[in-house]
Amino acid sequence: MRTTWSILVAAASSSLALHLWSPLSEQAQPDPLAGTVAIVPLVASLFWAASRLSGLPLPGHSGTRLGAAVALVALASTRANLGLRWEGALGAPIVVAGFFILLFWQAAAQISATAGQRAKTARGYTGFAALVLAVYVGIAPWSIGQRPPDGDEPWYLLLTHSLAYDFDTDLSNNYRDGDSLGFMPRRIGPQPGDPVGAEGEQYSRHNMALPLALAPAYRLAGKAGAVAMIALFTALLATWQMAAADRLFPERPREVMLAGAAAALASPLLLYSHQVWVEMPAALALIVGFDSVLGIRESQSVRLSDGIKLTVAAVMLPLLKLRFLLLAAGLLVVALRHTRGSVRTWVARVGLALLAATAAILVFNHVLFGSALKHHSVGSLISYWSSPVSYLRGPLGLTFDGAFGLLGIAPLWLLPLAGLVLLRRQSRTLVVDIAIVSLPYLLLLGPRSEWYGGWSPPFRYGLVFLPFLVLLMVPILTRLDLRPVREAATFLAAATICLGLVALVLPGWTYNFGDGRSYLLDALTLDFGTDVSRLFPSWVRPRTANLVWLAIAAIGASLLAGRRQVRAGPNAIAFGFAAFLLAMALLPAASASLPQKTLEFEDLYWTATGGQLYPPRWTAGRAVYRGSWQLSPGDEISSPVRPRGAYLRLTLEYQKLAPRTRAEIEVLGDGVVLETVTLPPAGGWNRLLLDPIRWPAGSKLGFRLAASSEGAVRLDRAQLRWTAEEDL
Amino acid sequence: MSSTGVAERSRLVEFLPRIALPLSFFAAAAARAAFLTDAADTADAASNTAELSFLALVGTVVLLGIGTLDRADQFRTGVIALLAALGLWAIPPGDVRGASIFALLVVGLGLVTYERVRVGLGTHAGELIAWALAVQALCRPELYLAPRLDPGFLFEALAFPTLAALALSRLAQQEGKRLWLALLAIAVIDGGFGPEVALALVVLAASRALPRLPETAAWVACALLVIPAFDRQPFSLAIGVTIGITVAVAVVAAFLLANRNRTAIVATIALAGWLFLQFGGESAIGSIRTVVLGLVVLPLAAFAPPAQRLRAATGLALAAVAGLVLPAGAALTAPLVAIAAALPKRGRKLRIQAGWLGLVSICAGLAAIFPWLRPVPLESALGWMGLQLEIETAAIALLAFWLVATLARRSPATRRIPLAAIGLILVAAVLLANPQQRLLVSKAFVLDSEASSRSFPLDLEIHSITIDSYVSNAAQLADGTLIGRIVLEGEGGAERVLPLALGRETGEWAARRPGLEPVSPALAPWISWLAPDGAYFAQRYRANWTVGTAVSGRGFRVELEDSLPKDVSLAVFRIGAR
Repeated sequence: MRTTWSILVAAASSSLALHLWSPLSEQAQPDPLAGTVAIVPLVASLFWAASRLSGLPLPGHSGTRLGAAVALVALASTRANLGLRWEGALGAPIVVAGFFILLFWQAAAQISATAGQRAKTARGYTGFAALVLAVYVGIAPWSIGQRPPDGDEPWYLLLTHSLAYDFDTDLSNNYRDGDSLGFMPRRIGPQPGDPVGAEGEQYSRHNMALPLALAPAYRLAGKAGAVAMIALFTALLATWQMAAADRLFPERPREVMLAGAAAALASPLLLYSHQVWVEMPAALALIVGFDSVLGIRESQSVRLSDGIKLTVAAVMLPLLKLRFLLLAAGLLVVALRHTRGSVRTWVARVGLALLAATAAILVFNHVLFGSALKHHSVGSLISYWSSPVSYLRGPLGLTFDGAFGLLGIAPLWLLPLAGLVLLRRQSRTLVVDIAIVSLPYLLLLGPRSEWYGGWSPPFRYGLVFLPFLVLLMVPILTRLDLRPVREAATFLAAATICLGLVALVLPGWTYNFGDGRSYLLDALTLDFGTDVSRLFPSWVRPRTANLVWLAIAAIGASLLAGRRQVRAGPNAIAFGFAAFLLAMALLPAASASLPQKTLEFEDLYWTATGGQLYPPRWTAGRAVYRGSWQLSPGDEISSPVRPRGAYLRLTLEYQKLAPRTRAEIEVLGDGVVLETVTLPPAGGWNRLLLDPIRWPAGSKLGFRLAASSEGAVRLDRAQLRWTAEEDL
Repeated sequence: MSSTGVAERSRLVEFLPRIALPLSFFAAAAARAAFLTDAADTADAASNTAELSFLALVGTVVLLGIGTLDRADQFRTGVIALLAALGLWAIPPGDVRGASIFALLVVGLGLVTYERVRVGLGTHAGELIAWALAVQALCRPELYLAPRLDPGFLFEALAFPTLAALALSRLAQQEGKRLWLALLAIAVIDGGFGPEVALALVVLAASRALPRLPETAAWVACALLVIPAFDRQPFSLAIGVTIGITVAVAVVAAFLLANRNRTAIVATIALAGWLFLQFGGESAIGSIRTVVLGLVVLPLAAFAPPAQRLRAATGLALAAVAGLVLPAGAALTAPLVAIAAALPKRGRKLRIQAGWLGLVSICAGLAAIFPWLRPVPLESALGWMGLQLEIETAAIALLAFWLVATLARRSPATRRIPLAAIGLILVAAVLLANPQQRLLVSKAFVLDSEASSRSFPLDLEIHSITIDSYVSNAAQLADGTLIGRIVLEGEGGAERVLPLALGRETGEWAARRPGLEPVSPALAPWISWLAPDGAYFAQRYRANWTVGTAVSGRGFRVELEDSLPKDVSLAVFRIGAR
């Protein structure tokens, strides 16, 4: 053990030395790869430590991968000398992609080597934690270097700064002194609705449990220290959820390892392993609590360790964020459900402790901030309640949305859905337990207009449930020797690898806007010149694809969990990859050939000669507006269309900014006026059905606000209906 | 079902995924090319489509090779195909995309090759053919730029590698998988499989003379040595004398070897070395191929067991002679086969040799990917590592090889990885300590008859200077024509002039345009990319000068020669200095 620590310390010192003195760091404008290069010795030593802790030698090709990493270090250091056209934005992402491929290759090789013979001991679990920590530490420098803290992160970090240096939660001096410049390139001010103290103190709306945990590391190493702590929490979460799965499926160590590894090495944990959000530590607290409930259920007694874990987890959840109280309560209900007699009494006492802690939080908030719920009120919470359908939107969006959903960033998570079907048939206890813990929280969040979180990578609000998905994945992995499961798993893994690599290399692309599109789909739309977004589900901007993908997922999950299956042959993996590559090939063809029914004027396939996006890109709460393109007289906007008939019937959705003035819209085919429509005088958003237009084949569809119009017009969307001549 | 039917079905089951993955990759890449829009690539739509099609073809051929050798569950092939497709979709067109995709393919092929050789198989003709076709596609990628099914393509892209692989398969069945090393070395050094290599291998395989391999190899080498020598321009009397003497020495060596006279062998090797120095002059000692031979062949022969040292010595002697006359692949084929046959059939020594050759091949392979068409990739690989191509470099590399091999042999298995890690970290430290070039000019500019000079300030001491450039409309100029110069302005008015001559320091950007190729100087490009019409590779060139003692001055200027035709221009992309 002493040797392991010595090597880790030596490697950390090497990384520090490289960070301080390598030529990449010394430049006036530090190289974006400087951090990644500096971290290589530490990451290598963590892999080595993980191997030692697991009691197994390093897998084959470890030396090759280390050599390749050194070669990449050399390339990173001297790439400017090559003269390729990549000195700018392009070179560093490609080199860093190479680092990431090596990182995941090594992690996968070590996991694969230990899958069959790992020890379910503290040492074995520590080895796994060290392994995933190596991955998280390896990706962190690039990720945090590419994207400054966003959303609530800056305020969490500023609160951490205040706790670390001022030992208080009053942020007024920190706002004044611009302390945020220590971890991001701009000053920040109070968030709207932040509590103000009696003597003008500026408090944050955010709880201080997470900042308190980060403060010592922040004091030592600034933002890097805080990020390292988050990475450590994430590694603990990845390990603990595997330990819980071990407890539930003791006879399936290989499948548990696979599920644990997939969760640890895929999005969203990867994306949140360096993000200062409360959801990730909350997921850790949740799985610690759930694991202790499983322990109590197993032994029907309360061991000290399980008791402490359950109490700490239950109390920590509301301390991290008050809404997590629902999860803590759910945990205790599950514990009560599985216990009898004195054990049940003991669990009830933990419930009382939770109540006391909650009351203390509310009183503390009331005394210090003047409101028990800080910037919230009971009325604002009730305003979330809405129609029954709206309760589905959040959970479905968090799962299926192309921009914010779990499957949109890592399709591999479709497997737990099949696992759920399988488990529901075999054993309902786990399914009911998970429902008890999850449903109240989902009912609270589901109807929120910003169910997707926003200003963060996808699946933020759902992250707390990730450990449950790991538990649900294990049953379906027991069928990996069956052909459809193996092929589907390979297909989904291929998609996850692709999306994961893109998300890691371009971290900014995971911060989508709530406008029904995503950076990735926008890029494809620009590349192919057709609206690729419409083929994928959006629960921000509901469309037909939502139902299609829901049906595909449901049918797919049922098939995978089906009873009649054949054993996998040696080619299942090859066919899984081949199927994904063919799906890639079909995507542009499908996008180009499937009919367009709706054109959204704010989308990228439009070419505008004037006008502007409305509301502007960075409008707060933009999702509540109707995104549109605002035309002034004379402005024109056009898009390619693929006709499905000789005649086109258009329905326009528009808003006149000056309702009583005259406004005429000219419908254009390749710039030629095909029809002129006078918009009736009406305020607000309106729909207008146009007469059929004989469509000139091969033309671009355009709209121009006639120069003689008075006042601007916003166009939201156009519905297209193509008909053959004889149908008129 | 009959046993034959079962066997055929089993073969089909094995064969399908090996085809399915490359074809799916091709479909994904082709879809990317087919659905490109003008909006996305307004400037270079044609070259982008051509580049995508080119990369798709090369990728498919290499993936066929990778898939054929990947005997496991095709997971590795699947990941490589996936990453390659992702690269084609995600990386913008240009030299960076080409280099990235080629890097991935080279590494992928290297990995499965290593794995395949390690498990002890590797004489199957089908596998060798798929592998040779993949190597050919990487070493001669220009064959796949808008290929037509004409005899040229069929021979160069398909027939020669197939013949070489078939011959090697036969040789390897008798002598073992060690001969893979020879094939690999030949491919690396000669940049693929040309007609001479295929011919030499076929002669060796057909001679059925492996028990007397050294002698056969010697004769084949002697016969083939003459072919490349006559291609050498200009052909001087000294070179003719050199060739005559070396051929004579080789013949004598072959006779001596046949009689196993060890004293004579030593004498012959000494004589070959003397010839090396005496007649080769600058072209021999400074020859890239000399160093290549030193780096590749000597370690290969270092661990031959006593019983096989005759074969190794034969190979060394032949290689030394071959190096003197700038050999083509054919001249190297026989010595390399001889040396490979001299290796032990199994054990650590073979692994060390294979590892060494693998390392050299990876370096050369990685260099070959940049800029796609590098004619002597090993030179570039060494250059990237900061090593000059001098005889001292070869000596240092050999010493390092011996040191690593000895340490690896003597250290217990458990310590090898930490040992390697320490070594690699030391290498990294050396690399990190080697500062990057300082860019004096990073924004491209063009000098022509109207603006024939640009001046820049200089505020550092210069030890060496590097310039990336190309010339336009220079096809009709003679090789060596002075195009321009860099003038370093020293303190007190002293000037240092660095010439830019056509075919030496710079060259025509469209030298590979079909109509221009015959009259353009054959200077190796530093970077290639597809010309705007996507029909050929455009190229730019790099020149390096070592100034000697450090120069510090007030500034420098780049000038275009006044006497050039009006339409000749010089494009300078970057100037760096250390």
